[in-house]
Amino acid sequence: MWRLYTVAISILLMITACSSTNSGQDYVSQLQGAVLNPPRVLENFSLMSTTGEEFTLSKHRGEVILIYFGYRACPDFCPTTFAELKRVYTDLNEPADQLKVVFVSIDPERDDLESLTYYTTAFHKDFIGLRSDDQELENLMNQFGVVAEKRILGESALAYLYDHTATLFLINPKGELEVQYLYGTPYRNIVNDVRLILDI
Amino acid sequence: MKIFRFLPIVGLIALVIGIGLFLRQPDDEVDYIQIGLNSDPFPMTFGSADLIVSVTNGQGKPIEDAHVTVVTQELHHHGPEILTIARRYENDHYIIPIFWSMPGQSSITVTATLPDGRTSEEEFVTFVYMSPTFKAESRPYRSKGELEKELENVPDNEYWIIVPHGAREITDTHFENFVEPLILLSVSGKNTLVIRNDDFVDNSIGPFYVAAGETLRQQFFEPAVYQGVCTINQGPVRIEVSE
Repeated sequence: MWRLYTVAISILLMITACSSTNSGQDYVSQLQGAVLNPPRVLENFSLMSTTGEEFTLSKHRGEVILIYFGYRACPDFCPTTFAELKRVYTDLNEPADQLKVVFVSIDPERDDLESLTYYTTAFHKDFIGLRSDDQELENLMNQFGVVAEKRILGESALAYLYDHTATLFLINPKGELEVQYLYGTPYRNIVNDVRLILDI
Repeated sequence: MKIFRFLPIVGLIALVIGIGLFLRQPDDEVDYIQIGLNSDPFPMTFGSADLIVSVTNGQGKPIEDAHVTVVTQELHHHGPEILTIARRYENDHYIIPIFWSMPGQSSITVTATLPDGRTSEEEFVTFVYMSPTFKAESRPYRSKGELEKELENVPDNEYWIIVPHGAREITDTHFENFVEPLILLSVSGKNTLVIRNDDFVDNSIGPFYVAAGETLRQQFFEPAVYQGVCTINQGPVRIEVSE
């Protein structure tokens, strides 16, 4: 009799296991950003960071990365986005081990690592700046479809500005680009998505 | 009562049989003939190409004894319809060599007739390049029937944009309104924008960058206005979300 019950319980367990295989994807319909389904597979990248070490995508599996492309002298989109990202980060109780907030400079000519450190940590001590002045930056921008166009200013001390993509990108724990946030997306939408993906 | 001791087992067996019946393909699905199309090269270019056609039943099992024909036509100059019969079958696919005499928007109609007389037909519209300057990852073509069915099933709250093959090239040569310059949405009504880029190249549609073959879905929860350039229409696209 017990053997029969063992078989029955095994069958039940198998059915339960089969029905739960897609549970990892259940959150997708609840995401509030612009969702890529399936997510975009990203090539690995490695750029020098303000932490003093290279920031390599493949070393951050299991974490969510919020990545934004901008420049330190940006007068509008970049500081506004990072002020919102500070709210996101603090609202989530600063989950440093699970969430990385990354600023990639599109202006390596002016943004050295020292000034980037000053800039990113002004928003939050955990925020990371990335810099590269070679092909790696262009490859990375191409992967995300980021464009940046230099606009020379006449008499201004700034000399030039960039017209650039102001979208924030979310890389999921598998290292894929899953969600994009248009400039102006309420911070609570981003909080919602990070919570869903990290299940926190 | 001894018999009640077996009730859980009987219930469980009934459950397993029920699941089995639920998952079983109905007969009409088994009888269904599915036609799939790919090509080498992908995308196709002016000159020679191989059409790679799969003919499967409703369970995805290849049918190897079908009589498969294709009719190709260069749509942009109303070229003649050219009939070609499949004579090669390799690795579960019918291989049909064709020749495109001009680049441009073109159609391929595949007909598969089974030995028992059943026939299935699918039309595919694609774009033939002179010589593409990009690398595209091969993926199956979508038939016109599949696209129509998808659009019929779009929920009321969704606004869909499907960017077709060669959209940017087509717009370069003559006006085709693949993307409206003004997209009107509302939080309480049509609140979700879905962009599927079936083109062979990455495209920006307003503020959204959608790589070739990708689908992006954005639900709007608050009124807002978003703008950006469209790489297809070479002009601005404005998305207005009202209450």
